[in-house]
Amino acid sequence: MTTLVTSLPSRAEPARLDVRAFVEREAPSILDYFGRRVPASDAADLLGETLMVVARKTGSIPSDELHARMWLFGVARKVLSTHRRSSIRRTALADKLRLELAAHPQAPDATAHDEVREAIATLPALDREIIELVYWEGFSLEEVAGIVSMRAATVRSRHARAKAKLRTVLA
Amino acid sequence: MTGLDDLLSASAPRPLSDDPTVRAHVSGMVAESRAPRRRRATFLLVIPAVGLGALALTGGALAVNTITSDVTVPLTITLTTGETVHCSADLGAGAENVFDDMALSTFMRDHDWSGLGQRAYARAVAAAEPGTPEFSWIEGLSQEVNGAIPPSALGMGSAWSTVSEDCELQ
Repeated sequence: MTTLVTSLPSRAEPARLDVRAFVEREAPSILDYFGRRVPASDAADLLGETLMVVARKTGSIPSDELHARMWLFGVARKVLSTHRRSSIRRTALADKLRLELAAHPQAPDATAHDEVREAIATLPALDREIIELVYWEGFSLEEVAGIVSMRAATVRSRHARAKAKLRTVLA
Repeated sequence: MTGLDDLLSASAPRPLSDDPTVRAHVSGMVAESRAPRRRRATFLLVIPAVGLGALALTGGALAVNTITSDVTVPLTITLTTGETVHCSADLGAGAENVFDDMALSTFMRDHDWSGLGQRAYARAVAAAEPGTPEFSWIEGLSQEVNGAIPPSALGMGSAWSTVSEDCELQ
C-alpha cells in the first residue's frame, strides 16, 4: 500500500494583509492602550508580551485590516487581564522602552478631565472597558463587541447604560 | 456626537507614543519580536504507509502528526486491458486549524466517492509517463480527491489530504 500526502490550497483571500507593516503601524496604539490603563513602565512590558504573542500567532491574524485590528486589541486585552491577575514577566524586548519611559516621564496630563476619568472609573469593569474602547481607542460598538467577545446587542445596551450613569454623575 | 461624547473622547490620557523617541523604541521592539517566516508546503510526497507515524513537509511548515483516514472507499476499476480490479483507498484530510480540520473530515466522510477509482485511473492513463505508472495512478487518485473538496471546506491556514490505496494495476 502506498500513501500520497498533498497540501491543499487555502481558501482564496482577496487581499492578504501585510502583517509586518500592520504590526509596525498598530504597535504604538497598543502601547497607548496599555499606557492608559497601567503605569508606563508596565505598559512597556505588556507591549513586549503582546508582540511575542503576535509573533507566535501570525497565522491566526485575520486577513482584513479591520478584523486584524480587533484581533490585536483582543490579544492586548488578554495580556492586560493576565497582568492584572499576576505580575507579568519582564522581557528583554521591553527593557529599552521601559528605560526610555522612565528617563523621560511625560509632563502631567491636563487635569481638566480628571473628573471625567474618575467618573469612568466608578463604572463596572466591563462597562468601563466598553466606554474606554469607544472613546479612548476609537472603536465602534460592533468592533468592541468583537474585541470583548460579546454580542453587539449586549455591548450596545451596556454602553447606553454606562453613558446614562456618566451623564448623571457629571451633571 | 453629543457633548458627553466629546467630553469622554477628550478625557483620553495623553498617548505615550506621541514621543518620537518612544515610537522609535516601539518600532525596534516590533522588529525584534518577529518570528522567522514560515514557508508553505507546495510539493508532493509518496511515502510507504507501513510503520508511518509522523510526517513533516517542508521542514516543519506543515506537520502531519498522524496519518489517519476519514473514510475507506471501495474501488472498482476496469483497466485498458479489459481486466476489472477491485481494491480500496483510505482517504483523509486535515488542517492545522481544529475547526477546518473537523470540516474537512466531515466532508471526506459524507461525500459520495462512487466512481472515484475509474476517474482516477482515466486521469492516470491520460497523464502516465513511461516507467512511472504507480506514481501516476496514485497522483491521479489524489487529484480526483483534491478536486472534489470544495473551497468552502478549506480554511485560511495549512491543510492537506492523504490517499492510501492497495490496488494492483499492473
